[in-house]
Amino acid sequence: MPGHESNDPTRSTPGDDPALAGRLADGDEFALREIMNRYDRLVRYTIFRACRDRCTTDPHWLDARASETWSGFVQSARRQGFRPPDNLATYLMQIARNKCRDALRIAGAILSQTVSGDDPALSQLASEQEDTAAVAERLDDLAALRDCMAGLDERDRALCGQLPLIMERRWKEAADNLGLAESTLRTRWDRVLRTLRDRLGKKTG
Amino acid sequence: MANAPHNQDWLERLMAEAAQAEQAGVFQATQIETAGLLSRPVVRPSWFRRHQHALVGLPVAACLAFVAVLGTLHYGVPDSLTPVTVNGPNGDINMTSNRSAAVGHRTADLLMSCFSGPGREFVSAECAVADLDSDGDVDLADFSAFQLAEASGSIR
Repeated sequence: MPGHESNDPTRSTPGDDPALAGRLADGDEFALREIMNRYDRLVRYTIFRACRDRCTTDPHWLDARASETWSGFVQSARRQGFRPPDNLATYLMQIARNKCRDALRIAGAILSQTVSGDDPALSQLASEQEDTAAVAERLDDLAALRDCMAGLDERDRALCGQLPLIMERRWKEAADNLGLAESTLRTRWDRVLRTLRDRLGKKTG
Repeated sequence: MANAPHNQDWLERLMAEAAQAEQAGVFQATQIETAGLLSRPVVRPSWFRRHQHALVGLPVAACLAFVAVLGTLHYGVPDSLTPVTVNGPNGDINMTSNRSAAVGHRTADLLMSCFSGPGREFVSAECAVADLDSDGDVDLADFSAFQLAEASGSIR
């Protein structure tokens, strides 16, 4: 499971998820940090998947929903009679999706004062059922690819900047933007993909 | 990843998603004051929350009881039982009940309260009325006979 690297020497010994959730219920701050360390990225990725358009257009949307998710989780855990869920990742993903749904509803309610009709993102969110393991695996792939892309040289990273055009096979436009010949761009792009594929293979086995 | 198709489209789509995720801030850490979150008082369910089932259930039960009392006052309590004949699955079955509209209701009530199961004696003498097939118990056979009689309107 991808998580943020933590160098906090005061971090408690990692236990299994239910035990951590149980400790959180007792007010253990280190348990909360450890859970966040394990699942914050998954929570953020779940929010990104649930409201991709919002996340890419509003820079604060993802942060706001992530904060609400963690606040909601802590509130649930601190409630009397809280029973730690068997699958903490699934539980957190559910909270994250619910927070997105609530926020979309509120945004939709404000919007519907001027525009009629439901928010399509909301109806899409309601119909989606996601498999926790599949989402986590996809996130692993993305994180690995991100690392591989970071290792590319300046020239190859510039090519990656033209990805939207390249994906639509608009080679000429992309080549013009980079000041290259189309054939050169195609050759270099093939090489970039090969490099990334090799690095990904090594990284993920 | 092991089973993922490593073709160009797949890799390009993954790259596009990674770029979008990066732009949206998926790979950043959520900045939240953990100590502040935990310092909030523990949420205890309110008195209403803890007793909401009773608060809803009791008025409903009171309403049902009120309706039952009104019904009893209006229709009266059947005090005399008269013989009636029911067309059972194995021929006519003699049973007793009063001659009012409460025939079916009373027998149904008796069936419910006297249900003992096959081969087991019923608990009180009054339950003999519910033994529609006269085999010494009140079981599903009696209930079936009653349903058939009710459905066909053969209580006469």
